[in-house]
Amino acid sequence: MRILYLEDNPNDATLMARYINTTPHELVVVSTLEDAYAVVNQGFDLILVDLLLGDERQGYTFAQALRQHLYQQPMVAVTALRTAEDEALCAQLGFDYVLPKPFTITTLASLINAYAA
Amino acid sequence: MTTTAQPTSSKRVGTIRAALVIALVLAVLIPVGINTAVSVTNNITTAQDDAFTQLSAVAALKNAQIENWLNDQQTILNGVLTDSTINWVLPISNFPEFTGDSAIRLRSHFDGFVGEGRSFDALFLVDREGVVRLSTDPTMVDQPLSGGLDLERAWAENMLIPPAVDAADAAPMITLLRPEVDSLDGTVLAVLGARVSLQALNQVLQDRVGLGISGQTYLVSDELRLLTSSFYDGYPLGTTVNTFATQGDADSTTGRRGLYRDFRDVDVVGVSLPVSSLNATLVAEREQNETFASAFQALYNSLLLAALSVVAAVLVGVWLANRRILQPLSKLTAASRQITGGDLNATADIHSNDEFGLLADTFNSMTGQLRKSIDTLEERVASRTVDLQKAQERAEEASKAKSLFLSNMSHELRTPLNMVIGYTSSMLHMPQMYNNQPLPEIFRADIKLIEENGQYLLGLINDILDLSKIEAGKLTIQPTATTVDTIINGVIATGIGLLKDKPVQIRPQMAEDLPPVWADPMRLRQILLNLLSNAIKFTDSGTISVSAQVKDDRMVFAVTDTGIGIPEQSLAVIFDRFQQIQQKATIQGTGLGLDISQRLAQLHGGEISVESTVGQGSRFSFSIALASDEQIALSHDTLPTLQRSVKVLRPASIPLSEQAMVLLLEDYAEERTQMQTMLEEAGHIVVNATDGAQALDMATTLLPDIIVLDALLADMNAAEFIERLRSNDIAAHIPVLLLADDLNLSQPLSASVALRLRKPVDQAALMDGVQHVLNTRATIGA
Repeated sequence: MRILYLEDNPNDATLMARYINTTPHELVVVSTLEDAYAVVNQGFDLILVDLLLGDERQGYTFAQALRQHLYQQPMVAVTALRTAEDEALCAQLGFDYVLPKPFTITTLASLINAYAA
Repeated sequence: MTTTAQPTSSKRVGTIRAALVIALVLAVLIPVGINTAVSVTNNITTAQDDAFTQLSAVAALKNAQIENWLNDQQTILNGVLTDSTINWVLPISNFPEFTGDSAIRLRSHFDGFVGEGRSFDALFLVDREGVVRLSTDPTMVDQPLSGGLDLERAWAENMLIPPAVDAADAAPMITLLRPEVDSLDGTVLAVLGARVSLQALNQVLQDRVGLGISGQTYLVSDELRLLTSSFYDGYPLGTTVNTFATQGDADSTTGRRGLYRDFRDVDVVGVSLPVSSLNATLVAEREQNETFASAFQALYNSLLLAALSVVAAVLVGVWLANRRILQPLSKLTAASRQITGGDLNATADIHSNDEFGLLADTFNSMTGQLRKSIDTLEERVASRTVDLQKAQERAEEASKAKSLFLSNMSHELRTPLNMVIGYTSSMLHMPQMYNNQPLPEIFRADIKLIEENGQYLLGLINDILDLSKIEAGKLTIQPTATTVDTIINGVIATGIGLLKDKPVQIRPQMAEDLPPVWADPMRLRQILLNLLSNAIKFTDSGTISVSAQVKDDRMVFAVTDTGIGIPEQSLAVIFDRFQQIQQKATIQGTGLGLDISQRLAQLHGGEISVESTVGQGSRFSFSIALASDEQIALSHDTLPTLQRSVKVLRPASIPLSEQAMVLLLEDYAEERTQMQTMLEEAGHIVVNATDGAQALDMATTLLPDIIVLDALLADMNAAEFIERLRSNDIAAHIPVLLLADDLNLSQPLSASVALRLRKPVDQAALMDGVQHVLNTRATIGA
């Protein structure tokens, strides 16, 4: 499974990479919206999106743009944003799922396994 | 403003007008009436006095004329017999019959005085015997003179015999007598008599001088007979006249005077004088109509004047009242109404110099003051409103800033926490990330402590976030038809994880086939978990039960412990934010949990209540409505597109059909947690038990698909547990997977144990084992 991870926090990106490296899956990490747009068409099976890039909720922009272009693959928000508005917006903009930060590695494993199946 | 719209006030105006009219009429009528009455009285009195004076004068004059007439008749009688003719009378005393020449001559002489156009009606001689010896009226001859003649007096002096009228229509006559004296010796020869008709007086009495139109004068005998002709037809001589004028004795000089009815039955003013020589009364009368005509005319004029005055006064008064009172009043009323209606610019437009002008000026200045006050008030209100709006905007900005701050803070706290939780969990559970080097045991406890405290910190952050949602009114629930036993088992499983090594048993108490409730499953779990974790915090030993019981159309949930209990004075405040009963120094927590749980229960239409006895324990309970049939149907129809929490995520590593409920009986907490994690990661539902008795309870109530049993139990050995399980009617069929170390592994596989695994077991082996047991069961079942 090819996984795209849009994440500007290098620590989070590293944790994700550390885990995915123990699995048969392949991970591509991008830290900006432009990079994400550049690679999104490279046949990913799952897209993980950090909502807050810098000070802006660019993750929403990304998800909305993809869904408007009829992007079909599952998208999961990986975020520390837990307000009611954010929860509602995630559902509205076409995310399949929200993985709230912080998460245990077993939770992450369950999620990846779920989408790999 | 129309008057028809205000019937009451126009009525009031009418009343004033009527009162004014009445007052004016009275004011005019009273003096005019008095004046008229006085002047009419005066006029009548004057007219009466005038009438009396005139009539008296007339009566006196006519009386004198009557006397004159009588004297004239007497004089004529005196001249009948002269010195030359007297001798003709001489024989009268000497001869029995007076028939000689003297008589003839005398008779002839007498004829010259009698008849039509002459003075007398009859002339005659009366002798000493009172017998008529010679008369122009042959019927009298040789007859005594009628009428009660006083012979002696007649022989001595002139006499007048008054008329004797005793029947109607008789011609009234008087008789004049004169003694005739012999010129030689002075003896009385005879009495010469003359009968005189009173008709001659008619001329006198009917003279109308001084009588006006209706007046008349007439003579009435003492026998109350009319002696002279009336001015009015139909009243012949001799008619009885019995009126005020003829009654009683009239004063000889002034006579009688009065207002009365005359013999015609007509009201008259009358004066009467006695005519004693005729034994009669002279009456002068005039009708009252004529007498008082001028007075009545004056009265009529006065009344007309009064009426005109009243009309004029009323017209002028009403006009003035309208102009000076009613119009100003209605203007004031109209202005008042406009002001009442909210038009504060209305003024009463009255410019008169009277009290109304003053009132209107005062009224207008009052209105002006009012307008000014209201304008000021409005300005102040507007200014306050602006202030309030600014304050509200500031408050909203502050609220937004607070929300933003909380959300940012939450984010900023979670981000580093992700490293703590992520790496500790990696080190504990994901050795493949470390080249499969197992975590040295010496680090495990400390790293586990880091992970637990990281989770605890995360719980605090979540509580604070929930609280900010509650305060912003944004905490909402998404209710669905929720099955209760799964949640309670999940909560108990988590709670057992929190027990560490406390000798506390956690037991579910609920009937089978509980109906679903209408609740947000995540939030219901949150409430129950909060109550259970509180109970665990405050309970050092004993039992904690989590119960669900249907009562009417609601489900009552309760968490009952045998902990330290809550003092009575604290029961009221425990739901307050940040309150925590500080009886146990080791208790951690912010005190936010119960507050949030209460809010969540309230969002579900419930209310958490507490009963507690210090030293014996506490019971927290709340109720949630059962899901209705429609709600159940609805929940099946619509599946949420986004699952909101990873906690309820169903990992797809095993198909849902192969998912099982696993009762895990392991008294060592660390191993229990490890195995629970493995089983849950694989997608199974795990129910924890810490001792054999508890596990037997749960097995009979929950009927798990499989029991994973550690061979070493504190309260009973595995064989005893299995034996008791198999002898249980309900739970005897549940397969058991036995975990044993090398020593125990050598024992033969009992028929009561489906599979035996060697400890320590890794995830793959455990999953394979569980799956194997489940498959075998399915095969056997098939």
